[in-house]
Amino acid sequence: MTTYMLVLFCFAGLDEIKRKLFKEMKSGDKLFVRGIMLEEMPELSNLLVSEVAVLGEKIVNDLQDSVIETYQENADRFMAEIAEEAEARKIAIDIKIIHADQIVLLKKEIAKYKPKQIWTNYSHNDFVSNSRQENKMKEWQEGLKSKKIIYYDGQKE
Amino acid sequence: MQKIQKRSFKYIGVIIFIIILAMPLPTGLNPAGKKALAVFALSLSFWLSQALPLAVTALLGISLLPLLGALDLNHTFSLFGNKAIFFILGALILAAGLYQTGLGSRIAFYIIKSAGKSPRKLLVGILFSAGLLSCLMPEHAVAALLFPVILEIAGSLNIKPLESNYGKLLFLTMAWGTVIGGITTYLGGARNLLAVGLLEANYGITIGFFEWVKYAWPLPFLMLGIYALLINYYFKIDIENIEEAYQTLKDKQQKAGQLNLREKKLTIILFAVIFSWLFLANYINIAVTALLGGVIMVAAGVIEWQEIEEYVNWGVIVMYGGAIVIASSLVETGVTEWLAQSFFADLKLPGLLFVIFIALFTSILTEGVSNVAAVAVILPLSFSVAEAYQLNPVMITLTVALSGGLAFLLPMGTPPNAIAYAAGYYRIQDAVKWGLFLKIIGWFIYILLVKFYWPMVGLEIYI
Repeated sequence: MTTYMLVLFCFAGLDEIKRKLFKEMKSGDKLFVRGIMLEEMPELSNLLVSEVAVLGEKIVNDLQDSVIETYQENADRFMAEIAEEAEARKIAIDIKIIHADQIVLLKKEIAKYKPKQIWTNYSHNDFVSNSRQENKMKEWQEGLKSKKIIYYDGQKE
Repeated sequence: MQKIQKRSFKYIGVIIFIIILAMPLPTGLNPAGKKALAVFALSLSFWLSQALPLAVTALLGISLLPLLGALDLNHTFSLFGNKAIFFILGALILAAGLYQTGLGSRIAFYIIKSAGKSPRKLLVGILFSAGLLSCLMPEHAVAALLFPVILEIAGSLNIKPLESNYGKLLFLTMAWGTVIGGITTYLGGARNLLAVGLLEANYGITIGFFEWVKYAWPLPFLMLGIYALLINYYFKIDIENIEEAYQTLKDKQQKAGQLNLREKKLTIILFAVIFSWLFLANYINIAVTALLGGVIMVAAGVIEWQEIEEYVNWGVIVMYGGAIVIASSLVETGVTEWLAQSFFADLKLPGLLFVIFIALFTSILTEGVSNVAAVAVILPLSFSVAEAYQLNPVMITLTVALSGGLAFLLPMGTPPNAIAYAAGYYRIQDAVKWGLFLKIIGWFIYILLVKFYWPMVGLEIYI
């Protein structure tokens, strides 16, 4: 049994990642999927409130809430989809959502499960990316023996 | 822009400011003009780099002008009380009513739903609802109003972010519909009013509400038409059925119910205000009408003052007022005349070429910085060119405001682009690919306006 981990900082452009990941895996392997949740959008708020827009704080907060809600819906939809596909391929799957401020848990899990490959999807979109958490992940990954496969918004780096 | 770049721009601005103040007085420029030029250079670098929030830069400019003795203290502050600022204030209050009462959303649902049930028709509906609403309220507000609706449409159609061309088109069409529609009237973008305010402060002439529409309408009209053609015949649509989205809109419309009392009152007030702007502007100044409309709205119980406060970013008023003060200081201290004589008078280029160059430069700059900042920075300098070549300042004002409004490529150019991009359904390269095409089309239409349409309706290139 080989262990894989899929870390998602972004829930966009995932079809290709999923297809390639499952092509790599075989029946009996184990897949850990960890989704890092977006909880706020400081870049968007800064741009709209302090810089250029006529919109007041309430409207900006409403906008932010709409994006975060959609982000979470997309995350749930993808998790359900990947779980279904893993089950059909007889791959053991362990799915967890991690809040951005608890990202240290991810480091512990990587150390504990020692995945053979870590697939990560980051984002170039400043508004929806958790750049601080992404940078932490990049730092941790440097010292790991696991094979790293990096994507940005669903496109291989 | 990255923090380090911002910081460097800030220091560059400060260094230029000190150099101008310290250098010997150039021939033809008076001491007050030199100080006003230094303040303008500092504000320009801060606005372009956004090293400080735009409103804070404006406050800095307003404080420095009397402090350095470029302008008298009372006169500096009185320049802030421009008609354009009060019009913007009234227009924002009216827009708050459209947003908060739900009347704006109701209009949007109606237009989108009326467009039809095919995927292409839905996009055309989004385009026209965004474009038409942006004639009545700021494009930022229209994007904020339509955004949750588009997110729901994408969700109901099970569109995955970055996987579907239709998903990209939904968000880009919303953003670009507001951008194109926003140049049609004063109301679409307060930068239009800022431009008119600068014109009035510098030349004592203005462009009326009706006049603006008369000069501007062919540009948005043709651009919306061309974009609708692209939707109908060119864009790749990778979805067959939008029944779910149509049902979502129908449910939303049903949930909104009949027009309520607040919406009815607001409709009457809006009709009266627009009527006055169009036909009574010679008797009642449009700024007075806008303010009275806002007051009546609150008095009639359409909206609470607290709701208006939540809706408006008041810093914008400070930024616009500051831009007018700083630009006026350039004219009043003779800087524009000095620039015209020293740099532009000897170039001997055709005036039309200069105008087209200004449009092109503004249209490039507006992609990288806020379009308000682009107008605030370029228009005062363009007035210098106008003086040197005896170009019509009204035409220069329209050139900068219209070109400054058409930001299609990058999220930082204008809030509708930022809002659409924040949804995560398209990449910047998608916006650049299609936006560049729209930009070029817009630029060609603009040249046709300058060369043929504007002279036909009495707006000449030269005075």
